[in-house]
Amino acid sequence: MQRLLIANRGEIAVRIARAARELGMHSIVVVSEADEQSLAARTADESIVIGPAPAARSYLDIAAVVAAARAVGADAVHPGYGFLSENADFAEAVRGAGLTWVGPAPEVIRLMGDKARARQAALAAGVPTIAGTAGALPPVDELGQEELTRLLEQVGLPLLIKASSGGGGRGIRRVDREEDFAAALATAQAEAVAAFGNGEVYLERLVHEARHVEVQILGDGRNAIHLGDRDCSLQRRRQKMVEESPAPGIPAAVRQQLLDSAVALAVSTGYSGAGTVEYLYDPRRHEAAFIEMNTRLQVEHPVTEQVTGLDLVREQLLIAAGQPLRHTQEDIVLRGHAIEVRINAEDPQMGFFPSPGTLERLSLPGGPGVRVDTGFASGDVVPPYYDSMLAKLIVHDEDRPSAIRRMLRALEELRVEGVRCNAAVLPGLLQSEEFREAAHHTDTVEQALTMAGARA
Amino acid sequence: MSTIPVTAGIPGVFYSRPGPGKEPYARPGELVQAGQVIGLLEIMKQFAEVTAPASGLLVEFLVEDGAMLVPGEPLATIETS
Repeated sequence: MQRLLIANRGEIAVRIARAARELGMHSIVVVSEADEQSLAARTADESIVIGPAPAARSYLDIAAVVAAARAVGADAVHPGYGFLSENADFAEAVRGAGLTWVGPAPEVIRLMGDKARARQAALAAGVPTIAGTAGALPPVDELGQEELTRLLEQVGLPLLIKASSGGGGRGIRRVDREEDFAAALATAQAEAVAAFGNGEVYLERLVHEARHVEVQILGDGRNAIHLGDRDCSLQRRRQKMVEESPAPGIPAAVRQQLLDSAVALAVSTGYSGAGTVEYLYDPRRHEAAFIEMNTRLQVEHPVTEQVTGLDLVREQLLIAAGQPLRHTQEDIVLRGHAIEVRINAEDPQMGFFPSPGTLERLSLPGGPGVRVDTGFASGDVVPPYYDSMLAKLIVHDEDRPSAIRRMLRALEELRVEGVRCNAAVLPGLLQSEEFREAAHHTDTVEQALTMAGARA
Repeated sequence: MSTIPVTAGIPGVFYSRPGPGKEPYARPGELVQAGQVIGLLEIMKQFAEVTAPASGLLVEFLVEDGAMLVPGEPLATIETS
């Protein structure tokens, strides 16, 4: 592997170009016409235009990306996160072109992309799962009343109807009352056909005020290790805002179960590369259960890098090049506590509405224990076509309270001018009693914002 | 009778249909009601509906699907009676 095509944009493209540079690999980043002057284009050794601004005609265009890889003589493709990173057809197309795919095998991507099958794989590997159905349900009109009643008894109310092809918070419908179940199931199956072209849905019990906990794993196709856990419970509309490692306040036995079962799932699927097994943690029952496995690098991977001292993108590249895992589980030592916040171009005063434009000034924090991953510099244009993330602020310190103080300090140093950003709401969340005492959950942000709105 | 423009309230990419391969919200030559959705504007992966400012005849769309609009840019015209 000498020439790496980066099939992504923004901060993650910059991040991958840096890892390639350190390994002595030549990097070529694909860009849309809107990103020709981007920081990623300036950071990589080369860039190649693959299409116009809309992602559907550039970053999501499999043929265009594969053609670009051929045109520049790439021998490997790193998909980053989002876009085509979990698209098994893309992984197959890359391999079909004789190139190395930086990620797990297409069949593993396909397995984990089908949420009902993934749930079955998790069950088979001994991963704890929420009460629910083992696989996809038949169409609602093939289910009799008896069958519907049996399902309700098996899962319990309230429950969630989830689309097999959903994930990342999409394709989910909540049912609170028995009499609503049949109609909701019919609607969910119809919606799943419309949204994903696949009407398969399954059921899961709803966990109230759950925390989102996940385990980072690395595999080489035969062996797998974990790199500790992360908590990503502070979310707005199911989009993560604050992430940390390790996850605070999880009983040791539960934590060990999560770590061990994530590794077991990775081994059972012959997982190769970096992946994340996501769980819901129910703080009342002290139970955790599988949600899904992401077969790619996560946005929040830096908090794991800070506490383990490993470079996850470097490990991904070395594994893709055919090297076995370079570390045993015993080699992995977790040090201190790391927190990441996402700085997004959105206006908290306007219901977090997106705020693209020219970034007149981006002044980044620095000093001990502070890292910033961004795809922008002062004077750059934040295009309206893509997601709104401007930067990730990551801090590392010896323990969680010091890491929170360090993040507050870093946020004070941050200056963003020209576009609106969400930075002003973050100190309040970090200083809230709920977050400091690790009593936060996936609805905390929405509840806090609603209360702030009621006071205003 | 007067012709009034439908303008983009926010910057974004204009779509006349809810998704690829779907039926358009409204076609030129159709009657639309005030407040009826006639298109979508996408900005940073969020969607905002474009609604008819008044009831009347949808005369034409002034921009193509996938066009990037700036706030205030006219995207369609409606003839009110």
